[in-house]
Amino acid sequence: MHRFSLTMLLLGALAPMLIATAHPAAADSILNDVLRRGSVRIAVNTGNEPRQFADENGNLQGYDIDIAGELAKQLGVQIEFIRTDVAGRVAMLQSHKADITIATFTPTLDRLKTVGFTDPYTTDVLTLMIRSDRKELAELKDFDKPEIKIALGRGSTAAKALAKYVPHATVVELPGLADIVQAIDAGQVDATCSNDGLVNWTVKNSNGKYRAVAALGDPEDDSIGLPQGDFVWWMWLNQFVHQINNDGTNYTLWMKWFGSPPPAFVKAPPKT
Amino acid sequence: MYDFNLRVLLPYLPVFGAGALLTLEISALAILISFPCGLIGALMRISDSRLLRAIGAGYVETVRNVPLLVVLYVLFYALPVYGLPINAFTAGVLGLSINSAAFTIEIFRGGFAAIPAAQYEAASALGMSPAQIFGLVIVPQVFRIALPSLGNQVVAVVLGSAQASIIGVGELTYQTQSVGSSTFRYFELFTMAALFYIVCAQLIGGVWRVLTGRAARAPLGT
Repeated sequence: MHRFSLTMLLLGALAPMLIATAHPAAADSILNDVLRRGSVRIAVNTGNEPRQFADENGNLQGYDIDIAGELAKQLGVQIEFIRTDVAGRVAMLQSHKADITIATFTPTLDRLKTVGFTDPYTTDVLTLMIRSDRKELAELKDFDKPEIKIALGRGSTAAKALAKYVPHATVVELPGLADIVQAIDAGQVDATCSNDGLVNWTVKNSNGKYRAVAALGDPEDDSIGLPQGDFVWWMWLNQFVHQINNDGTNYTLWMKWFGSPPPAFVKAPPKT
Repeated sequence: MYDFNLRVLLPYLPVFGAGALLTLEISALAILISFPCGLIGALMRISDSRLLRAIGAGYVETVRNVPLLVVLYVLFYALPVYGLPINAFTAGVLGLSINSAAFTIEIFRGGFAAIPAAQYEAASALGMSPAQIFGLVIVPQVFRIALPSLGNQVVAVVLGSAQASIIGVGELTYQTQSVGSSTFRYFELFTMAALFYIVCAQLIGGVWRVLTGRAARAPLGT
């Protein structure tokens, strides 16, 4: 008993100390840090084709990576990518290990209690994907049964959408896309739910092995995420988003990766 | 500045409780399966049959050198592809048992090695059968010698069960990460998880000590 309470005491005393030392001076803006450092640290969620993924040589590619490249160009600094997963995006911002995250990141009121967001630079729709041979799963209501297991990347907004649209389905959280696809192949789960970009890409490259089934609700915004409480940094980022949305930069990058037009608020380049 | 506040986790206590129960369940099952297997494996490793010795050694050297995580991946993702359906819970218990058995074999083998050959000879000279020699003379002493190491293995199994979260077993670590990804209170959560693990390890360790108390107090005679 004595040893046990001592451990509790130690943990209680250590944790806030560790956290307190992990932060830079609060009065300074991240914008100044980035310019002084000459690099911006961007957390990305790899394994999310065609938005953020590593190619055969391990180099990051994709639509969001191109947006990051444009942002670094406008800042006049280098990029330091930090590879993380769905849940890791918030933790990276919280712990100030990343200056921003550009990773199919949807603003929600819950997330806004912890991190900041710019205005959206695009949208995505949560879509269910299954193995093509599962003919009996044809529409959304076929998934609303306890015996249907739907795999998700941990920390995805899909958990909320599933609770709303297919409340009876069983949700299984797995670490990443590779695990999820493996679980679908092995029959350990029946479906996954992810953004339409990733689902369509996976379906297209699967030679008919998988198919997209149903969308869950309306498109969700995707924004640049940043640590809370830095107005100067937020203002720069938000202005950047407005600029690329309106001058055709974002439109051109989107068309390069997706081939079909982006949401209406992303304007086409002016005709010359 | 991060605002460390354990109170935000109060609504999630039932989730933690359920996770902790599952941690206890898979740990207890893995111990119940792997310890007897460990004893059998150790008997194989000291047997007169070269084949049995080879099987025992092969098992230990293979499993001990493969991370538990890899074992879990193979069980959960590969077996079903070859027509062996296995759910996450079973894969978790089985993976932990396979891993723990390899270490337990070595613990018991150490115990057997500590018994002087003279005891086998003496028991044999008294006219005891091999089964009697092992059952009445050797194994009780081996168990006594192995007890402290087995106690460590009990804790190792409880902590190792965290890795089952990777295949979607809803135990303590899985629930911690799951709650974390919706509340983002990772610092509080992992502090909480650490406390829960201490409690779980102490609970299973406590049961273990009660069950083995008499043996532990017995003198180590050689």
